[in-house]
Amino acid sequence: MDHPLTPDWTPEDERLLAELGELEAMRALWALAAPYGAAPLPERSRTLARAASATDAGRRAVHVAAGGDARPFAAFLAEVELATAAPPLVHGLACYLDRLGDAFATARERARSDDVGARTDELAEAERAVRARSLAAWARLYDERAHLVALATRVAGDSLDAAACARAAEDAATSALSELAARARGGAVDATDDAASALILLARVSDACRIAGVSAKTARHWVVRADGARADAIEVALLGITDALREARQASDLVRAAVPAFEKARRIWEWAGNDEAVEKLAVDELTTIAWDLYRVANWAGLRALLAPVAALFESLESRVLRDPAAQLAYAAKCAQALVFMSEAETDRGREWQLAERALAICPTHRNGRLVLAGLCLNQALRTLEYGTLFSLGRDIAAVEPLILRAEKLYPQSKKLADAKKRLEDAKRRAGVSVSP
Amino acid sequence: MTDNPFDRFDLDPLAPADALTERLREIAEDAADPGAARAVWERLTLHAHERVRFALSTFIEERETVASAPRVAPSSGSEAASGRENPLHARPLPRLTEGILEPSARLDSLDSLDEDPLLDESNE
Repeated sequence: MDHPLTPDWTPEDERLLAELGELEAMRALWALAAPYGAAPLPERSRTLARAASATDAGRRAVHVAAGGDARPFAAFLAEVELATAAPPLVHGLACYLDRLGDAFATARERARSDDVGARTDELAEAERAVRARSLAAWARLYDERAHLVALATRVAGDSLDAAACARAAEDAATSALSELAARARGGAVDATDDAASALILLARVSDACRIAGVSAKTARHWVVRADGARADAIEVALLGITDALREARQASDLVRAAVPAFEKARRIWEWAGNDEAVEKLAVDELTTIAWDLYRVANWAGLRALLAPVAALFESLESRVLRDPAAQLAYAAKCAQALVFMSEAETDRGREWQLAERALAICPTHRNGRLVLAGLCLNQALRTLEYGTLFSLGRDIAAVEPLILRAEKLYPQSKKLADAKKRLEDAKRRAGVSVSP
Repeated sequence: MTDNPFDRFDLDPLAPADALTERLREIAEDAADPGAARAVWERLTLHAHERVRFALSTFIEERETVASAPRVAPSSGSEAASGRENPLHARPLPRLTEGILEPSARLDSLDSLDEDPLLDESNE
């Protein structure tokens, strides 16, 4: 092949030029995408540029990047359809994204140690975005299997049999999942930001599988592993809470001893990205302790106990409303928590609203019905007590449906008979016929 | 966090175990703390599963490159066994640099920086 640079241009020269171009393209890409101070990519990373060059669009993007402008190359990689792309391109992309994720993680730690809070959050989000796509790429390779197994066989030579090669290939593809699981569990006791980031990513595995277009079997396998890792880390984080609450029940000042444990539950819930398991543990634990306070009418204590975990119950309430069948086991418990919140409330409007919400998620909840019936009757009695001759007609119209609703909700209500009697008196005074 | 020994020590993921041993021995000899290279050697050569897992987690040049001589010197017979060819042995060195980047030719053609018009203040 002739070339203007030299009359005896050879195919090796041509290949060398291409390789140098690939290397330059990768350097330009890294300079564009990686945060300042990132360790350079290995020269072998040019395999990504080479794999991208297998398509016309990729070849053009790599060519421009080799000239110093990596923006089209970055855009090309961002738009790679993982579900249909050639495995070598997906593999190169997965390795590149792993190193980009590492670079963001290193920069995030540097920003944290320099106490640059806003930058830390920005870098953490960038890292998550990159790692989420990396997970999708690895899921695709795991699903496709043949590319990694062929490479594994080449790397292993005679040292592993075919089954062992396949296992090693599987492990390589799921390394990212394993690392996330280790990060989540490793930071669980102290609820670290890094572990929180890992938990968020584990929760995105289902999306990653969808983006990668993997089979249902692969998606199920990956999601089960990710969910298991999340549950495991959260369980580690929650370990101390149950013990602390058990001890709190023996303490002389129950509220003082229990509130810190519920505050910790709230922190873990936030750390775990508003995880359902934490909400369920909180509702289980609170119900037991709250009854102790309820029986002695310690409303201030109940309020103090509920304050840190109210948001958890509201989140659980939303889950029950979204999917009542799936959350059937927790509908009544969550309703009871809302009843406690209603009972501890000092604002009459919110007190009523919370009782209504308890019945919305569990219409047959006995305590919910009892409390709401009581609220209806109290309202009816107040209206009748403070009414005047001028407001009598209006008051009767307002009170009648309240008493009817209370009777329907909880016919055994203690104030029901009194309310009915006062309503009849009011009707007589107003000259309205009284029903027998 | 990816801490891949193939990246850390710039090793060829497709190199056979004996070639990795040779390269890591060289690295250990030059290192202030040879322990790290030794630990990696154990990990990569005594545990084939680990070697494969790490190799697949980094960029793999599936074909021999022209640009770089192999960093891992293959032991006798290992190339044939791995089905790979060392371009240094099989082909003449690429001639791209000849006549273009030949150091003596390039340096001779450069003018002295003392005479560089850009550095001449009187031109400003």
